[in-house]
Amino acid sequence: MKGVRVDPERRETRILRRHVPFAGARVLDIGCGDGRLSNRIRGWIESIVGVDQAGEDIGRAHARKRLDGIACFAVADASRLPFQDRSFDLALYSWSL
Amino acid sequence: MGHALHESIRVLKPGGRVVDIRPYFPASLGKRRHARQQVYCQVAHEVNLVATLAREYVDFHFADRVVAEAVAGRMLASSARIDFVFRHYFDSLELFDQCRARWWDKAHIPVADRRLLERTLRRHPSAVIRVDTPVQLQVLTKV
Repeated sequence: MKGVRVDPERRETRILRRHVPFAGARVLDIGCGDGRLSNRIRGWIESIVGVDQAGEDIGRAHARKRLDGIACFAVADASRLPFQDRSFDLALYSWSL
Repeated sequence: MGHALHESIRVLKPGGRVVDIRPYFPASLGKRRHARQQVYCQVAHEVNLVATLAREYVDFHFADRVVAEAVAGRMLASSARIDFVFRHYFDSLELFDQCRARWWDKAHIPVADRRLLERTLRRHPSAVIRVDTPVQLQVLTKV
């Protein structure tokens, strides 16, 4: 959103990089919103699937061209995830648990 | 969304990680100002605290309990826990109010704080509103 800056110092990204083993991970971003965090970690992971209940936010996440080929986003209920058991290396809750 | 934690454990591979980043308002700190969201006005290099937001903390405390229960039940093991301050910047009061309503469950500003914020912005129209949120990152490993 124009006129709003979210963590421009990238503290969150730096702390994540230091403490989370992202290398080669298949990541599930639960409550991904507009894909802000998926976008910031895109260079460290193998792939990312983002889910959110808000279709409008998922539309904005889809519009992030930098995530083409590495991420996919879907509207889904986090309490009934449409994925098989043992599918992901990391489940990421960013302000969503 | 605390009830979704079990579902995310299901889709994780053995040894997989749950990464939980969220505002951290521990019940033990009660209403202490530094443990809540604080609003600053920034003009060039001058930064002034103008307000402290109040909100419902029930959901946060519920999520704390859900995570603690998953650890106590040996579904997850805590691997790391880091506290830090997460910042949002707003170029106008209107944007601040919009995001406050949308992202922060209409977090409440006490009347006196709101007046101080408005007065400061009238005096310094180019001021930027900064909101500092205490946040905790937890990394949990599927057992």
